[in-house]
Amino acid sequence: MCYIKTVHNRRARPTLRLLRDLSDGWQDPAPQRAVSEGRHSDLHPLSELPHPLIAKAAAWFGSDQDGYCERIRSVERLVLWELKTGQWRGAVWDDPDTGVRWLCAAGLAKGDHKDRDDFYEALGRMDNADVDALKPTAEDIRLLKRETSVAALTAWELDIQSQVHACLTNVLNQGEQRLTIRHPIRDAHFADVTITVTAYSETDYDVEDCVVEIDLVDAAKGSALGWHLTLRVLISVNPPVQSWDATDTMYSTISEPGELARQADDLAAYIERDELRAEQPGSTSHYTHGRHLAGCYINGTAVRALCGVIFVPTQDQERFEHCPACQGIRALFPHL
Amino acid sequence: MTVITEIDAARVPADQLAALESFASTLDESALRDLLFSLTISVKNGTDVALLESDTELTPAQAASRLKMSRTHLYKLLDRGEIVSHQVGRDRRLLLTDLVQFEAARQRDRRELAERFARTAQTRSAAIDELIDGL
Repeated sequence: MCYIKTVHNRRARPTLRLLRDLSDGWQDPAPQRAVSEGRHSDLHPLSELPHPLIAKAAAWFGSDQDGYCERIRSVERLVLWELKTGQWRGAVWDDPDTGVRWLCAAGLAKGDHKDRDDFYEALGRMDNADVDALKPTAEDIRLLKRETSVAALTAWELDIQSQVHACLTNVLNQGEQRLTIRHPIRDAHFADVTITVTAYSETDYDVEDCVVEIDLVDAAKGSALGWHLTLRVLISVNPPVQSWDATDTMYSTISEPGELARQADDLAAYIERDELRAEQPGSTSHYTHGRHLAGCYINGTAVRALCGVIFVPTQDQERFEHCPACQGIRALFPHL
Repeated sequence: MTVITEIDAARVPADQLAALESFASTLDESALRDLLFSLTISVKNGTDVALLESDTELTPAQAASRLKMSRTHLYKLLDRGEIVSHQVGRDRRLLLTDLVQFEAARQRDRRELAERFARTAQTRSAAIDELIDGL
């Protein structure tokens, strides 16, 4: 078997057809139910489904090395590799297009291979069309691509989180630093991120002004991936969403001196655990100019509060503490 | 900077303020109504208010303080052309109207960001779909 360069994890994975045929031996009935109900996205990752034959296939044909095995001689049309575990027998096909090895047929060894139900006997009786139908379908390929994309996106986000952390520790108090972000899958430039921190004093208080400039390559402008990068960077710098201000692709957050350093320390704990930090939605209840908020939270549209904060109302506004700035203005204008 | 008139918040009689407020509330929703309200809010909060011509010029330091940002931040906005400025000798000057226009644009961008933050899960799944299409 030769190795080809691929974006996919080459580890052996079952086809959906195999999952439908494999009626016995499951350590947990949930995946079979998901298959019969068409809930395919509940199956990820397919290489780790709880069946001894799938486990054996994934262990034998791993992401970067293969165990030795023999070719199944009863099938000539396709090169199928033989897999054995206990009474179970499986057939693995090495897909030249994706680089992935597909566990595409399974059965039991019976009667010293003379029984009609024997796995090899059954394969041997297949005509050309039957054999071709063992190959992965369009839906199999779609699930593979989804798995690859999710894994790449998560790894990309974790990497961005670490890069932002390293950058923050360098610019804390004062300074500017630039990050270069590559596309999560393709070998291509994706964005430049510049983080600048400036400490300054107003008449009666000191603040830190952190500016984040996110310059996406043209192809990424307006894309969901571009927005996803933007949100990940901002959450990595400072997670409270209402602390962020925006001007085109330049974002800023103003905080008390030391707050950014505290957030950087907090981020380090997430990096340590290989976890992505989540955004923190607003936790104060604002007043607005007599607008009907129900429609806004259903549609996810933002409104402007009396105090000037712009926010998307959620269903649970009532449990939050009232915003003191809004309350002050409301007290002045009872009719608002 | 041409100051047309200035109000010292502490010296405004309460009955006049109340009269202005009740007059403003009789107006239909408009920019003028908003302006009168923000005038009364500011005065009640003890903020001195000055009425300036729209073509009033500001120095970068004055503009930064008005926008509540560091000067570094302001210069970045000027360099990127987000706020229009012009050169007076070696210094830069900003028109008050350009600042007002910038504020309006900033409101729109803030709104979009707030909505994006409220839909992080949808954005993630759309990003995954984009990656799948690219494979």
